[in-house]
Amino acid sequence: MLTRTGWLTAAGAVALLAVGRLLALDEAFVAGATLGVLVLLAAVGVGLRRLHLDVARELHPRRVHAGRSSTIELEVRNRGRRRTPVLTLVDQVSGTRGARLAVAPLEREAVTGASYELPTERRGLLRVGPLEVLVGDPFGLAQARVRVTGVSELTVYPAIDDVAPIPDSSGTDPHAGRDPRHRLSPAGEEFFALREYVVGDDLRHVHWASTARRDRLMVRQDELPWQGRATVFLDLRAGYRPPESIEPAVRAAASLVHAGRRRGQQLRLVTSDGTDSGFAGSHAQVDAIMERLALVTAAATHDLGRAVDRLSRHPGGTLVLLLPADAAPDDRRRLQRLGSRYGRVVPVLFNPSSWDPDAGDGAARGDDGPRVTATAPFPVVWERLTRRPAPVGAP
Amino acid sequence: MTAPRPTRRARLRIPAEAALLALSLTALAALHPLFTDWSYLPRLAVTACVAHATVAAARAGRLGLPLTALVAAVVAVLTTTWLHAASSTWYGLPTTASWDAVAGELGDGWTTFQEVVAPTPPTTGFLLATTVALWLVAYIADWAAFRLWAPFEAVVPSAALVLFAAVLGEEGHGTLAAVGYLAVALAFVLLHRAYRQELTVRWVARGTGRGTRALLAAGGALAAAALVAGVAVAPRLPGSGDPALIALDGRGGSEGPRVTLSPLVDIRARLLDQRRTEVFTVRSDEPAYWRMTSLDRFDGELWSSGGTFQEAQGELPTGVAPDRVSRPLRQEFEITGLSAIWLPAAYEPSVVDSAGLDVRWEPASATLVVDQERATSDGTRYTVVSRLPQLTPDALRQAGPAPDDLRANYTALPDDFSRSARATAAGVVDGAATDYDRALALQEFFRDGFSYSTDVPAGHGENAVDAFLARRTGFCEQFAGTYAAMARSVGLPARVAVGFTPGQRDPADLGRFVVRGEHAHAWPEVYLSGFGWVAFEPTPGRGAPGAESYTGVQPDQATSVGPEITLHSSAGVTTTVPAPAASRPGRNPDDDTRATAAPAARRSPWAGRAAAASAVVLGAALLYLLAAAGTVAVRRLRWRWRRRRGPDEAARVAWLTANDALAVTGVAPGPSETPLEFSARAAPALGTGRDAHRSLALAATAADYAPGGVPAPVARRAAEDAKAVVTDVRRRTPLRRRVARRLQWWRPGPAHDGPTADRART
Repeated sequence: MLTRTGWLTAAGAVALLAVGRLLALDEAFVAGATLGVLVLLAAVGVGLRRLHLDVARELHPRRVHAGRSSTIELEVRNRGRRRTPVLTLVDQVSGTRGARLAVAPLEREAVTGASYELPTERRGLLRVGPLEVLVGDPFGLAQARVRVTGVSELTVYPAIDDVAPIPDSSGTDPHAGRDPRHRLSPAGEEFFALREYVVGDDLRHVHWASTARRDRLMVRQDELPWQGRATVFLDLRAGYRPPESIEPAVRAAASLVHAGRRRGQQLRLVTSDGTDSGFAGSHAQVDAIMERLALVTAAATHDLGRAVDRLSRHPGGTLVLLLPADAAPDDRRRLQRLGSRYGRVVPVLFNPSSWDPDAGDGAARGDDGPRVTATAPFPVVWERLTRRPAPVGAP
Repeated sequence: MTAPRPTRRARLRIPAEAALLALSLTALAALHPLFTDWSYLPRLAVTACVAHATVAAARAGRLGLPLTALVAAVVAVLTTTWLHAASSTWYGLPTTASWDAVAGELGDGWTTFQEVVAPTPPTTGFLLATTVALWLVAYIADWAAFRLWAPFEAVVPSAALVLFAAVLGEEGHGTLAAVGYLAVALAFVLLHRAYRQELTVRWVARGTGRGTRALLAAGGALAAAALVAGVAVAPRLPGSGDPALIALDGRGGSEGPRVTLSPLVDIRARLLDQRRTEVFTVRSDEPAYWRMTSLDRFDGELWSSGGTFQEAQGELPTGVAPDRVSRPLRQEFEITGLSAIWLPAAYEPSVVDSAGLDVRWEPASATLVVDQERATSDGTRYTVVSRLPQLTPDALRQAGPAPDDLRANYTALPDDFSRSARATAAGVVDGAATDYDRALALQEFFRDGFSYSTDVPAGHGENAVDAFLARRTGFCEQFAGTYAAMARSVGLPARVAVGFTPGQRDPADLGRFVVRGEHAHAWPEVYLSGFGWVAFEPTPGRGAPGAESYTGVQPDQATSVGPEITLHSSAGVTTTVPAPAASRPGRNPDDDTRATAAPAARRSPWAGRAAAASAVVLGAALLYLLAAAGTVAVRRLRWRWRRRRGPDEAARVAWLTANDALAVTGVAPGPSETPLEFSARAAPALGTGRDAHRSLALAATAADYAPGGVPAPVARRAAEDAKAVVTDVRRRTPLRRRVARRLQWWRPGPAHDGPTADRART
């Protein structure tokens, strides 16, 4: 109840009274008594203060790519009969000192609002709250805390770069390799299959006849015939030193997923710990991949076997391998061997620590594939990789 | 506590700083009980304003604490000399004469402080001491308030000043001052808090103005309520109004030896400041010197005494009971304003009748005092019968040698007693046959060649002896003290008696004498075997009634009323207190005498102290520069040593070297900043060195995190990059700033908020 200052002041009052008694100083008695009364009044005033506040807190958007803004909006309404004192709102935000806002006195039923931006520099999960209201006295001697709202969460997706989508591959796709540019519109739909509804499917695609027949929600899967499939493999194993140097790889994966969705690709993310998102086309599914990417961390060891197993089970389209540059050659060979099942395998190597400008130009292809380095970030490397060679015999 | 960043225009900054100044000024006003009048205030108020303005300006100029102290010291020295020793400056600059003057006044102030009871006249010494205290208060309070952001701690220094005044000042004068001080202190704390909120706290919906007003209004009401309640409650608290448990200045009633001030030091104040104050009246058939006590110990500086007092009523046992011829004298005393424990009486009291008043008596010094229950004898009435000795020169010449133990006690002098005084005394008594003749010769030495003036420094210490002998001007305190010391040096048992000359006869009642402050007096007593203590009168213009027969001195005393010439016309202005500026530094003739006639005695100690003070200041400055140079040198050495430990360390040292240079521009890496982040932030401060700095950041990161460390060529290039950065910084910043930065060697560089900290914004 009493703050540190309050306790110190009370101690000072006692000390002054003691000095007054020892030396018979009226002045010290008056000073001690005044300070004592001040602390007492402050404590009683704060203790008796009843607050009736409505505090609403909104966070939007709840998911955001790193670097984009997300805002908290607060609305405070005084439901009490009396004017509020000066209030302090304290909102904890994980990883920061939190937000601290002062609210000038509110008349009865008065409303005031505030908004503040959350730090979104890093991907991950940001916990906001609980929001507390502090009531204190003007001298800061006593303080009471009231918790008014719970915890909200903000998911910060990895930052994304504007990169070209993963090129379509030849392979098992019947129409693969055909240039989609001659199509009038990417919205042409051809029926592909009926399947069960999963969360995130567009309700417009529900096939009501089959739903009635099967007594389960069935959706029509319209597959565009030229629709490419692409798989992104992200290696999370040790090899990223320090662990933060995983960020470029995660960012690259997120950029590829984002670009693929714009293009309407079916995308799949497999990580080295064996997690497989499955081919995703809908917004919800892509968001699920992003959410996964928001939270991945480099892990000490994974057995690559499970991931290779997953990769080989549902092959198709292009496979992009995002690997640390010092991945074991054996592992790399195992992954490269998957090339037979995929239309095309594109390995991108990430230098674990991008300190040394001499480590090589990312564009310079060695035996092991293109490298992402400090001077050659992923968008540059990817741009060079996907630059379409001039068609043979073109005019 | 972290200092808030002044991000917005702070409207309360000036009010908060002004409140801190007001706090110091109130504390200054609370010092009033220590002084006899308000004349101390103007110059000290100016000092307080200058002190606060100086430290605030230094803070606003972002000077560190040591530099602020340096600036404050310089301004303090300048303003103090202008205010208190203006005549000694050379075109406004302090000279060694200023040092001498200030140090001398401070020394005098300290001596006086040990001797007097408040209230005292505001002498320059006291003003100087208070000036020093004010500068300290301003420096510490400003530091606590606006650097540490600790308002309660900022109040402590000035509160200490107020408490000091309360302890030393007269009782019952301080409550109003305390209430005023408390009110200002609470106002300051409130304003300081509002100011801090203005800087640190974001207000919802632009509520700054309304919020601050609400805070100040509520705080003001709370403070007022607490003050009123405090004043009302304080007298009702248990223990309030009781006597002190620890007695300072004799206020309490504790057991143990009772210490009181030497009455000798009061004389000057009585003669000058309280000369018209009625001290007591006495009804007596004939006038006499009304003697309070005698002082028998001389430590080279002060005359003092000590003794065991016994209860007394009626007949008094006398220590020395000579069979000398004497006659009785009955005196009825009524003490009105003596402000001391003494009960005056003509020498030597034999019977006391105090009508219920507890009286104590010490035979050796023939001193009557009130009992410990009374702080002073003011308001008492008593009757004393004294036996006045009847002495003739012939009888006195027959006096035998004094007893050995008595002679040993009353001829004691400190080992370092002035040689020239000894020699002078020996020369004066040369040729005198008896003790009486020697005493008489000494008396004539003073009465012939010396003149009376109160316009001289107080004191009767050892230096004062030499100074007095050279100056040949002084008042009774110096005449009596010097006479007694010189008498001792030639083997005469001697002591100093303190009391009053007979006073003025009441025209309406000729048997009544009114004794005022101006009648305060001191005279020596010499022990002549068979006759006891015999008073002599070396002070010109003074003479004891009834002693003419053996001293050859006509009865005489000071009087400012009546046909006789006043003795202190210089002080005879409307106020009884001479203005400090006029009385002390302005007494030029005296200064001249002191400077020319006694250069060895008076000047040398001050000159020595001034030299010592200058040496201390110079030494401190030199130490400071050495520390600055030393830190740089030590850092360079350590880096050189680290560089030899391999390419990793070399790369790190290159990075540190570059950042050390960069710090001059005010950019320094934050605690949670990675080298690359810092490099990006520092880029605007750099020109050609930008790329070099970035590549250094890469090398430093590699040295810390790369699995194999950095290869040697990278480390070598890092060293070149560091040089490039240093050169670039050197070209871009003026020498003045680089030097200033080097002088602030303790400063780690501006704090930088971590990349994720404090990002919440309204």
